[in-house]
Amino acid sequence: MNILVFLQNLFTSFTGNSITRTFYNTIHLGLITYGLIHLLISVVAWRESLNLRRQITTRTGSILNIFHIINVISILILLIITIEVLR
Amino acid sequence: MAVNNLPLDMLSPINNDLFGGIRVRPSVKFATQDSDETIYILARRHIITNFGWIFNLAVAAVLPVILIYLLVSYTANVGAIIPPIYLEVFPFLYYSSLFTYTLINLDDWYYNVILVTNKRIINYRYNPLVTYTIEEAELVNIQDVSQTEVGVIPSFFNYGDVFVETAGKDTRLEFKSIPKPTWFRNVLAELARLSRNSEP
Repeated sequence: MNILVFLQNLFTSFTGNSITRTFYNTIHLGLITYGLIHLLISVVAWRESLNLRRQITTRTGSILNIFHIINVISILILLIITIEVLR
Repeated sequence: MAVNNLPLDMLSPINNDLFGGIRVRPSVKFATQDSDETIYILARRHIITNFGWIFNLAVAAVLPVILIYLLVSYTANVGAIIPPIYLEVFPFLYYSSLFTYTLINLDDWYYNVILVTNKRIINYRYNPLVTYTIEEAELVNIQDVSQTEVGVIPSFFNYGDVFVETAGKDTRLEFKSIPKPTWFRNVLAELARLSRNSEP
């Protein structure tokens, strides 16, 4: 037990934060990174969908593209909310 | 070279199915379409090939609900295990990812298309977020058409792979999981024959 307390104190003295605080900070950072990667993938998927629709023009393709745009906008809003909530 | 006198009865046995696996004379345009080019067939993978990702999606969608249910059943205070702030944020991020996953897979199915026109076959091969390839072959250059159906599910739902060999080096077009492959192969072979015969 003393060793654990010693390690915790050592960690705090090095980082300036407690282990719990650092743990939650890491999770927050992870969630925001996850959101950013998700946003990037969605934007790429939307652009690809747009290029494909230019290759083959159909009504369903246009509808799919609208869904992609809705998806990108919703992820952007969600990311902003996530950053605000976790701050 | 164009096959403009295609016998209509050759296309008639196939009805346009509900999910667009095979569509005859579709109202579709493509980027490099000539003014005198008519699309006879638009084919995609059989709808049943989407079962895998839809099943994954369904499992992924109910998993958090089951986990929360188990946590509530066996633990008095869920908030003590998962901080409430995460319960506010994480479900939205998670289900938003599932929506993106759905859209990408729908694109994958929808845009992997084969177009058979009165002049050529065009194969659009799309691998989401990775590659996009367009192959085409003139009908007159088709030399051999073959088909394979492997497994119980393709036999049951009547879909399979169709291969087209064309003149020239490394020219083998592969059409995966095409519905009604026998009919499709027959139409391609017939179009190739008509195309060769209409040459001056």
